[in-house]
Order: sequence, then C-alpha cells, then structure tokens
Amino acid sequence: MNAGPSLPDPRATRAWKAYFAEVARHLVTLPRETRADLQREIESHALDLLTPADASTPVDEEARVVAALRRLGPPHDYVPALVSERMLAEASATFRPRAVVSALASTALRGAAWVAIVAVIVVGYLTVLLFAAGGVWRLFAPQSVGFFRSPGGGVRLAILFNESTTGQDLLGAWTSPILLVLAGAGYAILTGSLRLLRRRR
Amino acid sequence: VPPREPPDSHSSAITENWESQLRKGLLDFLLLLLVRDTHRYGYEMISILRSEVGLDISEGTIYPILARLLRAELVVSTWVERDGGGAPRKYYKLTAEGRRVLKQMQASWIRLGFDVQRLLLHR
Repeated sequence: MNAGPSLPDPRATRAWKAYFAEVARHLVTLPRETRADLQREIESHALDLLTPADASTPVDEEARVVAALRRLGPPHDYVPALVSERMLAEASATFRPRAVVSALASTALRGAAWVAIVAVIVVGYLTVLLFAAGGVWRLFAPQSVGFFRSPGGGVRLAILFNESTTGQDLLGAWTSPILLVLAGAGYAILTGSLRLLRRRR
Repeated sequence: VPPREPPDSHSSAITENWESQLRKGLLDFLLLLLVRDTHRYGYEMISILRSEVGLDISEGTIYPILARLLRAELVVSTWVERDGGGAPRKYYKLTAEGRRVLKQMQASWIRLGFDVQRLLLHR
C-alpha cells in the first residue's frame, strides 16, 4: 500500500489509511503481484473521486475523503468478490484440491447467500470424498462397502467403516474402481462447475 | 393512451428494484461497449454509466467484473501515467475476442428488444 494522497488533515489521512488497510486485509490471500496491482487500481479510483478542492472556500478534508470512499463502497462489498473471482478461476482451471478449498473459503466470505451456496457445494465434495474413501476401504473390507441386494430384493449402496453388511454383493471386485471413478467424475464436475459461480453477483 | 395511474410506493419500489437488477445484469455488456472504441479507466467508466445509464452502484463493484473480463481475455489492461503526475491509471481496451463476444451480445440485445416490443404491441 502506498502512502496515499498528501492530505493536510490527519483525520482525513486516518480515514484513507483505514479504508485501504481493510482492502489489503481482504486481498491478503492473493499473490503479492496481483494484490499490489488491485490495491493500486482501487487507490487510483479513490484519487479520481477526490474532487479538486475549491481554493476559495475552507475544505473539510475528512468529509471529502469519507465521501469519496463512500462512493467507492465498503471494501467488504466488492473486494471479496474480486478475490473469489480469481480463486474460482484458478480452482476450475487447475482442479487442485488446495485451490478448491481457497476458492470455497473466499466465496463464503462474500456474504450470507454465498455461505448457503458454498454449503451445498461442500456437501457435494463430502459425498465425493465418501465415495473415494469407500472405494479404497472396499479393498480392505469387502463386506462393508458395495452395492448389496438385501434378502427382501432391494438394492442399496453401503459404505460402512465399523461394521459389515449382509446380502448379495452385486458388483464384486468392480465396486472399488466404480466408486473411485464416480468420485473422480464427481470431483471433476463439481470443480469444473465452479466457473459458473464467477458469473453470479 | 391509458390513463396515468396514481403513484403507488409499493409498485414503485418493485419497479425500481426490477430496473436496478436489469441494469446490473447488463454491466458486462455495458463495460465492453464502453471500451469498444477507446481505452478507458475504471472511474471514467463508472462516471459514464452513472450519467448516461443512470446506474447507481458502489463504484468498486465494477472491479470484480473487469477482473473477470480480463481473465476471459475479452479486455486487456495497461497502466498509464497521468498528465501532470499523480498515481497512474489502469486503462482497459477490447481484444479481438472481446469484439467478437460484444457483437454477439449486441445481436442478442437487439433480438431481445425486438421480442419484447412485439409482445408489448401484439399480446
């Protein structure tokens, strides 16, 4: 963050610095170069908003700065969207789990409506994780994981970690690869569709 | 000409909200239009949107949209020093891909306007 404009009133300087400290706090998860670029652009906009003072009348510097920053909007109104946009783009392009976690965390910070959307997506990822864990666990506990036909005739998917089930194992050795493929496909679909969130406001 | 109905604060609020959402939904299109023929910076764009389109939003909200347009390679940006010194400004301009997308958006907009007009006149 640069020092900002040269303001004679210390209260105006404080208001400016407080605003851009908050902007910086929201941007902290971004790479240094991107962070500096965005901060510089927002500061440049704020400088444009500081209307030239009329030399013939006394100027309330603090009011001028506060009015300019108010027009720009509270940082929490738009900076998290900037961060989330970038994180979602990275996650949906790289498919890296760490990028996905960062993208979901930054998106949830955008507000209550976003928390609800992220919660639904997290449930999707937990399901994917359960399928992946089931696919691996099946190798060690064949009677605990699989598609089983019960004596009554119904078919159910069981993924049990501390007990086993009864019934006819329908897929046998195919269970593990099928669950792993389903988990992989689910992960790819969920992560690829994160790009749709980028268009939402 | 139908008689003018007295103003109703409830219906006015609904209409205002609808109109505001409609304008916000057009932001991508409007920003691309603004940089179609000339380089512009954020403050300049929002000033035009305020005065020409009556868009009343927190000015910072255009930056997530500009970031998305940049990442989609519909626009490119460059920092330019201000005349007389001061902090430089980031200017945006349309790319060839942006121009193609804008043409499609313009066609959609014209089609939509035509369809709505047809409904208004012949429903």
